[in-house]
Amino acid sequence: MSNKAINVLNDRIKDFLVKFPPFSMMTIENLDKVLARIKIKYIEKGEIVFNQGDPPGEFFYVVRKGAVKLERIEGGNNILIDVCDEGDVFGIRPLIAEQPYLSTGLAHEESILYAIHTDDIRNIMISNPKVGYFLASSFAAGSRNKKQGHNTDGLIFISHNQQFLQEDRLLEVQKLSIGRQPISCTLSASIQEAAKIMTQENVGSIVVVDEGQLPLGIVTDSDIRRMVGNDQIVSTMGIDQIMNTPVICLPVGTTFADAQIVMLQRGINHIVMTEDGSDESPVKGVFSESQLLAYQGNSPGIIIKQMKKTKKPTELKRIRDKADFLLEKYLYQEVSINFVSDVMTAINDALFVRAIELSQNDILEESGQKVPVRFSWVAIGSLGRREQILRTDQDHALIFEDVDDENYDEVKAYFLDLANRVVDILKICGFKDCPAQMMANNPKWCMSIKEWKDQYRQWIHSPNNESILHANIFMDYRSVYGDVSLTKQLTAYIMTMVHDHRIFLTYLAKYAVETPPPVSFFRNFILEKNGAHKDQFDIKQRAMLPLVDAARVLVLDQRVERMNNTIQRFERLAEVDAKNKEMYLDAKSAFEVLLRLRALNALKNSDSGRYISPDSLNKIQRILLRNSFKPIGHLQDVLQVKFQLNFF
Amino acid sequence: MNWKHLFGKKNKAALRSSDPEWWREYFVETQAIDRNQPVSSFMFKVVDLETTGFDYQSDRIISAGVIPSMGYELYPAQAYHTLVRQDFIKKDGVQIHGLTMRDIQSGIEEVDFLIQIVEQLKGTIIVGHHIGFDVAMINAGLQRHWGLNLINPVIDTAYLYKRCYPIKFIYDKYVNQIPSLDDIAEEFELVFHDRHSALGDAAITGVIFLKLLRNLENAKVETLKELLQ
Repeated sequence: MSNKAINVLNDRIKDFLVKFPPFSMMTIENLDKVLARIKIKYIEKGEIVFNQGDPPGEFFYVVRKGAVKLERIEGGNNILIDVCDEGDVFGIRPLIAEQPYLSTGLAHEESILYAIHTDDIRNIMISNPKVGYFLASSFAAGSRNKKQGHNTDGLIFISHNQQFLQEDRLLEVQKLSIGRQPISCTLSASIQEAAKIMTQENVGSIVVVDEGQLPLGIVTDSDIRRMVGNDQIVSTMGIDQIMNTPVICLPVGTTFADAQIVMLQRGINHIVMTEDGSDESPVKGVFSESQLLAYQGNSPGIIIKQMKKTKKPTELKRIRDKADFLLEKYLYQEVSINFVSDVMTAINDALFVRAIELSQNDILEESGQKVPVRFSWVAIGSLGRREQILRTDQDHALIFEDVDDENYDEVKAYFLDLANRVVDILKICGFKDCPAQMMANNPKWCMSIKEWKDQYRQWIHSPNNESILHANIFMDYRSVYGDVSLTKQLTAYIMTMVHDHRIFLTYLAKYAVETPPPVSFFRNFILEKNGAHKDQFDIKQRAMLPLVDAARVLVLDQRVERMNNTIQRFERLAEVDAKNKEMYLDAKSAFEVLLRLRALNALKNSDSGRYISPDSLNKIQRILLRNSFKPIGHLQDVLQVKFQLNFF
Repeated sequence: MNWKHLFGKKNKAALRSSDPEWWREYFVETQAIDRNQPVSSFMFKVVDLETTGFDYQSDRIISAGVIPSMGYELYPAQAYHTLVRQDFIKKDGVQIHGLTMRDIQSGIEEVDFLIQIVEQLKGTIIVGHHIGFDVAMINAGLQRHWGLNLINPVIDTAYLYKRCYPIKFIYDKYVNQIPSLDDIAEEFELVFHDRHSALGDAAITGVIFLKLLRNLENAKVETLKELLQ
């Protein structure tokens, strides 16, 4: 048959399979063989594909759509081993061993599978060792260390293949680079020759190697200094007379922490890195204590200290840039996201404080004007919640003490001037203008405490769509500079009023349920349909804000005061509303996952991280993201009931 | 549209001495289908045709896709797909399926196609979306050349959908209409193969069929007879 597109269906299946290992490692001929007997299988949620203990089947499976979980009964407990989603291969035991299945595979959700005959792939494994190796190693992975995921189901995830992990750069960043190229000499060199090389290369140590580059000894600056000091040295002596031996070695890829521990334990300040970590393999690099210190130089404490000393906005920006490297390191090392956001908030706060101080000084120098009355500079929105990990928009406001009418204009003019200067510095430092002008240099948001009280009263007394929008942002305020008693006063005022006007909370609740959980029938992401971010996922609008908004209204409803952080809000809610404890803790983990994914995405794309291409996520991240949507729906259900939104 | 009169004859159909051998084979095997057997024991064939238009008397088949299905599985490797050469083509049809005149000219002769599709459908249950039209198209061809009509049991996924989700036809958007393949595919998020090619549509229909079948099985539909109700 000379038909066009005779195998359009097979082509599509092929297009899908080649994206995932082991099919990505196959030749066209291999794939054609696989397709010759492929089946498409539909399974409904909960349906079992194979049971633990079943004899090996003729087919193994690739998830085309949906998700399949693998469970094992061990000592009476049902243990979840893995969740396979799009592109994952499972049920490969029959391929490797003629033994019963060790786990039960069942549909975690409605799924479509490709079933591939084991005979077909067995032949390919023989002719294509890469495929064989991949499948054998995935199979062995059944006994790999289990890693507790951060996801909301409390599931245990094991990544199917190392490729994804490498993509993650999880390990790379944690590990030391091999340091500088090793400077070496042979055993026949004299001390003088060695010292000359060290001087030329400007290094503090030299490794003595044999012809195979195996390390025989190491000599450092301090060795030579000590010898000279003790007058024990003749420069023509052989290097072997003074070298330290045996050489303390670590393998390439040693972590920062390990290297530091060895240095401390052994009282040394140079570590030689060899191929396998013994002195029986070639030298690959040398790491010195000073390099380790340089690593530590990016500590948050040092960054904040440097900010405090800085006089120039451009310098401030340079220091803030360093914090992003720190952030990157933390994220790849999977440091707890709470810690990360605390650190980044502390750094951002320090920058705000410095910007305000510099601006005050500038005004003083230019016009001799001092700060006229007490004031508080408040962060609002995500910075107010201590969730601004990235440099996104500036959101802030200013509250000043009540003043007499005759002084009001002058005082306000001062603070607007101050705010303008601060905004400019923040812009230099990489914080963009708030598009809605929610900034302290906007006369609307630079007010006396009395005016602020009026403003909140208006929002709370007569809520409408616009005022709820404002209230949501301004409810999450936090003083970063100035007199805290002003914000305390405001908070007390707001809390009393909120509870006398329940309709306001109902409005907040209604707003919080307006963005539904972003999953659809087959639990794919709902992507942006139009505009510059078409086919991307808006993680802020669709996943984070629904959680933030829900947490805020629930906390207000529970009369929990001055608790701005979303994660802490959920923790507190789990305590005060114990019957929904599980849900709140799920929501908390979901928010942590989202914060982390967004930050990673931001670093990868050098933007706000708000829009994520689902394709750019690896499998674990995709599942984590998807699972993080679940609590959104649950929270919204609770809000519906609690505030009777159906009747509203 | 009502296609009933076209396969209304099937029960009375019988072999005639003039019928060709390929038809006899088809007839015997297809007539032997025992409707009291469980659904999972049958071979289903998911069929989709592309035609020059929607008049089964004057329009012609220009391509066909058939995917076998059994026991909640589809067998894409055993799929049948062909283009059918037709000299008569209306312009507007080309827009939908993206087949050009040249593609059509590369197809097999209609007579050969009909013999092949009959062989494909031998002893199986035909499945398709608004399948009445497709069956009518094949029957029109068989009538023109040999005066024959298919005798397979036929399952319409549009009807199965209505049976699975009756509520949607009372309260929802489908009050007076049966949803199109596109509608259901969108609802089930199934647009993952080429749409508007015969085999691509057959694949989507196939997955919808499996889903609906499972649905009915849960509602205690066990035999073919019950499925055909």
